[in-house]
Amino acid sequence: MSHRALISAGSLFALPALAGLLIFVAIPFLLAIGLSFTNLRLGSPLPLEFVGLTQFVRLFADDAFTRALWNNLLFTSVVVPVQTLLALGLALLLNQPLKGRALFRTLFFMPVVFPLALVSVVWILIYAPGPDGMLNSFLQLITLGHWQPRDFLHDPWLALPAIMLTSIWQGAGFQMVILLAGLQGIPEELYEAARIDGAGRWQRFWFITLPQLRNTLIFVMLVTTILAFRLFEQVQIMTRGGPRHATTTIMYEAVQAAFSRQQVAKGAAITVIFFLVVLLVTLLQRRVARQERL
Amino acid sequence: MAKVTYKQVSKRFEDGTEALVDFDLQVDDGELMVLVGPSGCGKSTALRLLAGLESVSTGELLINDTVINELTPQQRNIAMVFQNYALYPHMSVRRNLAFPLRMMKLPADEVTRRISWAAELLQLTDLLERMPKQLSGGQRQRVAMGRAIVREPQVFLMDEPLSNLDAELRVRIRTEIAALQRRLSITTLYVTHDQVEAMTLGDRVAVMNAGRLQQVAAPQVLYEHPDNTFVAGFIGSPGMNVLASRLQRRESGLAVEFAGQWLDVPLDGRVSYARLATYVDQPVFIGLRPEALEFASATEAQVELTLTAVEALGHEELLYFDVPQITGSHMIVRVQDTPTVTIGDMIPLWVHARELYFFDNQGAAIY
Amino acid sequence: MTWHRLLTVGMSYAALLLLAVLFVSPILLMVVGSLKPEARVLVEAGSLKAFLPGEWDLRNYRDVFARVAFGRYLFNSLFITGMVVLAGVVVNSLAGYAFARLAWRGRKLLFALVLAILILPLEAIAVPLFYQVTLFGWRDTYLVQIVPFVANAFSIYLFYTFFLGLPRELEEAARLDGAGMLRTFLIIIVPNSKPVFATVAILNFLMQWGVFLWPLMVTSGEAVRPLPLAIATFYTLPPLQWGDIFAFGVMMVLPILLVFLFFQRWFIRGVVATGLKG
Repeated sequence: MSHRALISAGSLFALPALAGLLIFVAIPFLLAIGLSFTNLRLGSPLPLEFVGLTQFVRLFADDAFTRALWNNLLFTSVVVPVQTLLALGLALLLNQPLKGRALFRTLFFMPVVFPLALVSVVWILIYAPGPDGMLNSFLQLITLGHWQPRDFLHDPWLALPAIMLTSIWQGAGFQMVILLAGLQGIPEELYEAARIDGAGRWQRFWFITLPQLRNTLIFVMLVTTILAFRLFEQVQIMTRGGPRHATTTIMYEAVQAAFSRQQVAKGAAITVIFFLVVLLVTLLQRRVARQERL
Repeated sequence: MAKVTYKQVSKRFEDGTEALVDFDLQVDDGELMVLVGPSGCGKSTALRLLAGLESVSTGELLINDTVINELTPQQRNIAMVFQNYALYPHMSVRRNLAFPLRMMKLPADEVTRRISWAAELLQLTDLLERMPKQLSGGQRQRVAMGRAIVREPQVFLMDEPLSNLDAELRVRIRTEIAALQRRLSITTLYVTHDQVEAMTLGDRVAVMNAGRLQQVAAPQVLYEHPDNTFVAGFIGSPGMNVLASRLQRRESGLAVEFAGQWLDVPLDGRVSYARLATYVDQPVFIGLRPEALEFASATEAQVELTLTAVEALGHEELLYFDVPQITGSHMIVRVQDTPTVTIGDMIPLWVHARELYFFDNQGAAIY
Repeated sequence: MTWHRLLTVGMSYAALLLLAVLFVSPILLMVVGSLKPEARVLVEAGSLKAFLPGEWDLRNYRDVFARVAFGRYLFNSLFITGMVVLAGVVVNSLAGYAFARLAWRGRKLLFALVLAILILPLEAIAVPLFYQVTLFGWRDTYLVQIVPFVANAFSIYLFYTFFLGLPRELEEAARLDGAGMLRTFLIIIVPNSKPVFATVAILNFLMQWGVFLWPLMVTSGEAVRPLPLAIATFYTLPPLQWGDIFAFGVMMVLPILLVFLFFQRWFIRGVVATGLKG
């Protein structure tokens, strides 16, 4: 087979995928960057013109948008550690040779399979206000009656935490599966050597399990972080960004701008900021991961 | 100062496998005891039981007259070198060596002193800051040994430490291990499947098969006086040829069957004539080392065997014969200065009858 | 030592049981609620009775079909998801293989770009993509919900990692036997890559089944909309009947649940094989 044929085969194989990525990802992305420097607003009598960084400046003066940024940051900084810890705990529990652990594993993973839209709707009922609401009556039960029923989704302080809980519930199982795979990749011999060296349970976890799991943990946290920044469905369905921007997010604002208010350029600018934030987080993760290669 | 005793130790796994059966062994203080046998013979199990990585089913394990069955590995003051070294991949060599000492909560200066001592002993001083994945197989092996000796334990356990090294390295490190053990005088149990390694390293060697101890003795004794057909066939490269046979009383004395011929048993052989006489007309096994036969002229030959294969090793040759009564696949004869032979030839051979070994039909040796 | 082990095992089970109950209760709420007559759903939601069906009743399921074109939405979801997964598996595996094994001009640079795209979520390009597809005239079609998602950087990456790990001898033997590139790929590589195909298919199915934002943007009306949108609008459709909503939810999640339960083992194996854990 000629060398040239080899070359063509390679590019042919990759062509459909690359074409797809070019047309539906690369070009829109470049377009987004371009649009964010304009004043495009559909249905507006103003002519399209280049306005430099005006959109971005205006965004940071916009209450709703700054609140959205803040909400995303808050959301991410709570959900990522909590969900990861929960998933790690589940993975550690399931890493033991217990009977029926396959069943447990499936149970914990089931919420992952549920579309976020469905999850949002079901949890609306769970968060129902009044003493009959499921979460309210549950909290009343475990606090032995001290809990006052609340309207979670309309409470400016509880709305975002409510969405956090929903997300953690939905996402923990996925992280658990990946962490479990990572745990099972740690050779048993290392634990045996550690036991012989005198290491107790906690010491084995600290000196063997955690270091060996490091890369997996970082990977899992990165993915969850990126997903956390994409928060949209729960907000759209459960709270519509309210009450008073208490739960609005970057993506929610972007969709509102581009579709509800036809402010295309503004929407594009928001998504550009979104991309930059995600990029920053990813680069940070790579930096941290690189520092200590096993 | 540590003496290790296995008293009637048995290990039966959850799936029913009897890995070790009625194992009795005593290892003296400072001795290098090698456990050797084919795969699945129970040698690794015996080692892991002593380490505390598996629990004993029945029997007692003792170190210096203290029963240790209920102690965790952490409490036993035993160090182990694993076949795959089990070095902590995310720790430098130094930290690997320091780890057990930290677990022992030794003061920092003592930790440093021991690490320097072990590093110098094993030539690891230049490698202390490296990570395991940057080391060669031989270097990793030494780090594993280092991690074991820094603890100054009562007992060393070594689980096939040389199996993952290439042949040349194996021989070199083997001698280093022997020298190290002699120098430190720590009681050592060493597991291997390679009987050459066993014979060269051990003060005494315990031969095992199918979960049971076959014989424990100094290497030379195992070679000269195997207790049964298994040990006879296992020890030696190649091992002894063991054949099914019969004993007959004739006018000239006792005779034994070999390859269709009857060989006279000499009075001054390895076995007491009187004892042997009690086995007349019974099935027995005879053992002939590869050196116990030699080329003969047609007139002197006692047997003629058909040659099936030849292995020329330079200084000697191994001739393979197909003899129906052989246990094992071939009869092997070791010769030097061979005339040219072709596969299929009938080779005339003379037997050193004085070198005959005898075993009863259960395989136990008759002396 | 054994009582210590027993304690650890006992506590592990206790923890697992407690967590399992917490995780499963919303699901149980939904399933059981879908079988109750409407009056009882809300009333019993606050108590333990939420989890006890009492008398079974399929009335809610019938209601769903009566109030909403569920069959249509179901078909849309199945069709769109199925197409994306099928086409995606073909297109992305070929690309993954090209990057892993074939030599061609620009390979390294293009792969770096693919990796860069990995972190680009749909949301970052949704707005301009929206206007792009409007330009193509693809609004309110199946096409718009399928084609943009066929090429997927993450899938390419998974295939790439997996193919890298296959022993080269397979392809070398095929080459000596005279097989061309495509034939080698189809007859040698693919049959030996079941774990990664399963993982990619399942992951994509999972992601596609739940898409919400994009269909919301590019479609209107029920003709081509998938289930997630349907349940959101169903929720806002008066009268608010939770029993019906739950029934809708159960039917909506059943296909994906079945797919997952069926392919669970492949998926777990795939996660390990593709080194998804990083």
